[in-house]
Amino acid sequence: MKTIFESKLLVVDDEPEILIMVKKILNQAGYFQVVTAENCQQARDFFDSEKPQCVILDVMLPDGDGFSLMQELRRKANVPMLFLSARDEDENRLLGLGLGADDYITKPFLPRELVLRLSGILRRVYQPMLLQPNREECLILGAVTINFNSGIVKTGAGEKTLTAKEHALLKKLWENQGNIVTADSLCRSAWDDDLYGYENTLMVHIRRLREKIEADPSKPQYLLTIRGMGYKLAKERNR
Amino acid sequence: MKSLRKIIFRSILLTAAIALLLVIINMAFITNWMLKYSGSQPPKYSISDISDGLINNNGVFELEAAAVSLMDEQYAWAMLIDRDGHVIWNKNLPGDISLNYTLTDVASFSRWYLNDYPVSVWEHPDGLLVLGDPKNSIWKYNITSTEDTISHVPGLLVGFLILNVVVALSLALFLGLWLYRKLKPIYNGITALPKKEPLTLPTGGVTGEVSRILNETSVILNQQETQLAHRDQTRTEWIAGVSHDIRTPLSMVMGYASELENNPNLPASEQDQARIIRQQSQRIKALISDLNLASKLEYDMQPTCLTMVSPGELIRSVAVDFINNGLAAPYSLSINATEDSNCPSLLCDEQLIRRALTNLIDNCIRHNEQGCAINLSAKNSFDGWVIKISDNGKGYPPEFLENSEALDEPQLLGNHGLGLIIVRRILKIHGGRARFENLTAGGCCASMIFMQ
Repeated sequence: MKTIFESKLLVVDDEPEILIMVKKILNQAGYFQVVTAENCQQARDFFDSEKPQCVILDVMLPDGDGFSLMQELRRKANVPMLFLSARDEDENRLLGLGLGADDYITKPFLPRELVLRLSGILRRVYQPMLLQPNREECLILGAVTINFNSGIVKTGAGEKTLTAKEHALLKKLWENQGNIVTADSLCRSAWDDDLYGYENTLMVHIRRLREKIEADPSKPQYLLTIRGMGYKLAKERNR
Repeated sequence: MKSLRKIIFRSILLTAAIALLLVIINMAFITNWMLKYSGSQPPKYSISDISDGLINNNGVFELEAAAVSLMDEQYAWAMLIDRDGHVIWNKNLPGDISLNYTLTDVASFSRWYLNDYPVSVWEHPDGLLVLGDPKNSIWKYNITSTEDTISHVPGLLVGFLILNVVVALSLALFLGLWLYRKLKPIYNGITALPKKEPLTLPTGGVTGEVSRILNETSVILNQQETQLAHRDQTRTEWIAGVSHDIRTPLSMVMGYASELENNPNLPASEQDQARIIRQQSQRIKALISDLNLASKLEYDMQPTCLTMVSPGELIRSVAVDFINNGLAAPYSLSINATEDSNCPSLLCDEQLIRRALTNLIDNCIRHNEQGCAINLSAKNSFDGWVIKISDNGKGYPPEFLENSEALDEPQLLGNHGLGLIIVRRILKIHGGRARFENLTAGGCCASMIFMQ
């Protein structure tokens, strides 16, 4: 398996129409190895024979429930599982019981939502194995290149090193590039604590980060302040 | 139990008081009676005056005027018996009275009656003066007692009084305790009724009937409770079931509409129609979800998970989710949070409060097609945390504001859907309340007041 799109997926749902649709959606998104099952028994058989890399499960199945099936399959192989449920209560059960599902989607769902969530799970679980051991995680912001493995910022003027906190903050922003990240989330990433008491510390760290990655720190082009909410790392094209 | 004890204690006191009062009334009555009939009535010592007034004028007896009036006042008739037993003088003597008497006769009537006439006798120089009253007018009784007994009478009277008091008090106490023991299970039963659990009070004894009725009542209450709970649960499950059944076909509608919307081979107008189908499907999805949550909140079937949350973080993250999910011009979102709102100080179910906030922001967006500036604020006031969602749009319709404080939820529904009802119910289960108002500068403001 070279990319996540080569993953084999098993979709279990009692509605054949839903199976057809989900398969179509996944195919269009680039996932071509999709196996479908209409009940627990079929799912068990395919799980053993096809050895899928990820399972998409409905909760209500004609011969059992998805939660038990998940636990049963997990004992055979620890693959990511994503729930597709038509009941709000299932969300509570999933959260409350901590069954260890990787994600859940409530029906009805948008195809884009399903593909995004699935890709997110697959990337999280399989990407580290797919990557070359020394492949470098790099962020390029105009003339500036940030290497997250070494923590070095390369600019036209030379090299600077990110501190541990700056590294954590910038990584969090990079993971959500193009989206706003609340000051609270940033604080949790860097200090593992609530924002209370860290408001000024966070501002100081952001200012230092800007000095390292922005051409003109007083007029930031990439690391933008969203007043009252948090910060955003602008995408290159959105600048 | 305390109040039952109070009731019994008071009843004992009251009974004792009544008994004492009766003794006192009796004593007063007897004293008064004795004073009136023995003290105030002149003793018939006037008989001696009458005797003195009967003058023997050489064999002819004459009653002096004073004696006549005394006699008329007090006696019906009179006679004088000489030493031989013959009546030698009389006045108004009834016909059935003999004129000769033996010693035995005299001994008998002097103490009792003469032919049923109550008589009094007095010694006269010429014999025995007998004065009579009409029949059945006087009751005569001779008391014979030893000196010893008579001397103990005052002590006996006092003792009798004390005994009365003691008996009255102990009877009151005994009855009170007895009543207390009998009423205790009944009292316990009545206080246990609001718990709506079946009672099993003993149905024997004086209070058996009441206990039996209480037992039956408790069973009825318990059955009603079970039936109500069952009905609520059935309703919630029914809604959940219907929701589930709608969601599966809606998945297909939404999924394929979304595919068509993004199909580059379709003309733009058809893509747009597919977009509308997709958007409306999403609205139906939101409605189903609201309906489900509203019914669960109404019947307390929504499990709550209370944690300490920082209100500032909460409103920031909801606002950021909206913006990151594509909220853009003509809509804008801003935040006003005090520094202390960054501290986890609000005990709430985070998911439910998020839901309430999302509903309120959705409401602002849906009712202001021309766009609006939405502001979220968190402030710790006297009432506790207050989270406000305000906009500068067209505000709530007047009829909604009129009904917003009403308990009648169907009126609240109006064209604002379930969203605001859910907000109200979420606040209610947090012990707080929601307030909806229009701003003078234009737009509206929904306040979530937590009162913690």
